[in-house]
Amino acid sequence: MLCRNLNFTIRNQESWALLGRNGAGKTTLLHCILGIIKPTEGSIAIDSVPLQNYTRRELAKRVGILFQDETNSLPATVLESVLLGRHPYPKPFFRDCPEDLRSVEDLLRELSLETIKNRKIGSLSGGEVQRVAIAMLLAQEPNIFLLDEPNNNLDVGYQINLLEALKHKINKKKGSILMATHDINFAARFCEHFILLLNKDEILIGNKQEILSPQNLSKAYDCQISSISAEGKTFFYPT
Amino acid sequence: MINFKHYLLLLFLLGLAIFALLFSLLSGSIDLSLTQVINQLSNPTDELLSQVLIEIRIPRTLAGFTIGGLLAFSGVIMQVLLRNPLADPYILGVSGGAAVGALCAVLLGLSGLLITNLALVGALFSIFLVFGLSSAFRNWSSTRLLLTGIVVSAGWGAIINIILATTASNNVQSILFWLIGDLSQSEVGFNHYLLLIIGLIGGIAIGRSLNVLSRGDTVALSLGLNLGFFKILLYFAASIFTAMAVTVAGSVGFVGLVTPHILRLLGARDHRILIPSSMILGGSFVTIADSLARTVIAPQQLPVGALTAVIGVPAFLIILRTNIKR
Repeated sequence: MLCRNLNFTIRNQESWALLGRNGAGKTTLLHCILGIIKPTEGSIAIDSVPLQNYTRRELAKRVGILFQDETNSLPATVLESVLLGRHPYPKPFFRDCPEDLRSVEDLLRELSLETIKNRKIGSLSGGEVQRVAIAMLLAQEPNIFLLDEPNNNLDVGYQINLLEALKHKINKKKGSILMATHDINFAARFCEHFILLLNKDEILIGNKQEILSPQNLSKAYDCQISSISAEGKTFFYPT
Repeated sequence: MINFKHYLLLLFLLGLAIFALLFSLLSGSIDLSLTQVINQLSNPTDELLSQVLIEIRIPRTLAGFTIGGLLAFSGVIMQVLLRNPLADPYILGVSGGAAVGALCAVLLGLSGLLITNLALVGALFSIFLVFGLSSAFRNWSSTRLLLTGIVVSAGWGAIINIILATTASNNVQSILFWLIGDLSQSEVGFNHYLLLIIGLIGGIAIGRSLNVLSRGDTVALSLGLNLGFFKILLYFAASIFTAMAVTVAGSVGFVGLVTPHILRLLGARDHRILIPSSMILGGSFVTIADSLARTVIAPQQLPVGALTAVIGVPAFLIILRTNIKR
């Protein structure tokens, strides 16, 4: 049992952040929403329909996840990988679907991956791999974007640009984000709602102002965290 | 994804397959010409020739192609399932089980079909043993399955060594048959052809799912693939295909391991292309290797398993090297 009494609703166009220490259950919670792990108690519903009533494929059209390092031992190129994101959608028996190819090419252009689209995944840098994973998730076009450490391996420029691109897509499509991250300031920049896993029995859920305080964060991470305000924003740092 | 180059590759492989089949029909202890073959088949005049052709050459050629195709299919599937480029059709101990089954039959003085049947029993027993020991149905860990398979294979190897060390030398020759792979006694029938066709069509149909599965379980699940049943089905399909090949030809090595890699290096990474092209290349590979096995030191015959490695090792290394340079 990782946590109990967790109860929250994510609405359209909301961005949620999931904060907590290593091993607190962030990834496990994301996997529960993805339907990979069954919660021992309670239930999860999407559009008021319980998760277990969806087929895998139907679920994949609604929920998508950005993975924490997926290594691959069999070769594949960037383009082939991103195209896999279209897997949940119907296709001709043998041929590739031309619309899929077109939308994936557009995505690669948007995320400036076009120049490396024929490179093998194994030959890419960590940051490039992460950008390919983001492209794959965008190709899947889910409504709920689960992001597991989205800024892993990304430089600050890409962290901001990619997340802006993602939020833009979501606002256009009416989707929502739930991200698990260790970067409090990154989460504060992009999310309005927070889930802070303090320990097994104590979880704080609420909007940014309620949850993000030095006291709560110090308690969650078991170290002294202070805040400073500049240009109308609040930043948190360990002391 | 599939592009023009993939169709060219398939076309080239079909050409290679036709070459391999003809090469096998024409070469052997009696060399034939293409016109002779056509004449004998349409209007048999020479009884000896038509007998050689219909009773020996054609069955053996088809056997080689079918066994190569079955092994290449299993090789692709095992590599995807275990996400390990070193996986081959024998990784779950199928060949060891078949060999021990066949050895027992030989030692009991059985012959012919009974040996084949006992080999099949051994192969199937090995599959269930590995699955049972790794409790794969409850807990899908490919690492555990892989380890169990390797350990069970080692166990079969030990039994084989003990049998080899303790039996009379005139039995050893027929025992080697199972260990190296040999088509001289092979009789493939309807079941084998049926499996080959099921593998080809089914493999193309599930090609997209295999693409997703090769990225790992979590990715596959999140992209909408229903894993549990699909993976069990694949493990059994690959194991049965291997068992069927091993029971008639022994453990012909190298085909299942290396064929998919050669094709991946040539750009056939999508399983809709990789499955059919592997089956065609695997079939052609074994057919050519067996033709050479029958001719290089004629009238003596070599086991085909010795030749697959002799051809496969340099071919693979050359392609690997040119690919790195590019």
